[in-house]
Amino acid sequence: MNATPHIIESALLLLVAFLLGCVVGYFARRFSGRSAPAAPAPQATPLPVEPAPVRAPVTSIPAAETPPAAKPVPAGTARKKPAAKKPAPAPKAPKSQPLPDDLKKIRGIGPRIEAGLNSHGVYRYAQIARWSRKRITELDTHLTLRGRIDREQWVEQAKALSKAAK
Amino acid sequence: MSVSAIFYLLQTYWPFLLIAAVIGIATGWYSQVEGEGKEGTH
Repeated sequence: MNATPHIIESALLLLVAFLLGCVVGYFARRFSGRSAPAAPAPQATPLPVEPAPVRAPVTSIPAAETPPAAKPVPAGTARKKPAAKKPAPAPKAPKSQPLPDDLKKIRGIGPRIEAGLNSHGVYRYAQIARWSRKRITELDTHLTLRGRIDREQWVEQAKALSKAAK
Repeated sequence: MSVSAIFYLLQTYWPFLLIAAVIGIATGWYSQVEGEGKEGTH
């Protein structure tokens, strides 16, 4: 059998094999759970933390964070350790302050991305609704979102959710 | 394209088809956006 007439057929078969592989690979990863470890977000340059984040009220400070200077110090030696002047950072959020918004209500944001956003100081829909183009680009880069903020319209969703929350 | 021609090609060029399938699997695997499908609700 002469192989030359089968060039097109061969190419078609190769294409079919490739496409089948694409489908298999896509669904294999999609349904493989956590077999593909998430690449850590690059943290080369620290991002500015957005102002006025509302953190979950801290009810207790871990013992490790409590400075040893919290022990009663004689009055004369109190000034030797500047850390002793500020015992422990008291929880800034009073009990009356609202809890952070559930960012997972925004379509496309899951627990992992929500945690990433929280690490950048994003806790509220209103914060996302105010994102500038520069901020979107920064977060997209740092959280490896690959354009999902625009594609899934997080800002628009956050505006709607923010309005609904009010 | 007859069935016999397809079988001939499969018998003759199956290593290349396998390579193409492997490349396709890799492409499909890494084409998925990070976290998409696991986190999104779409």
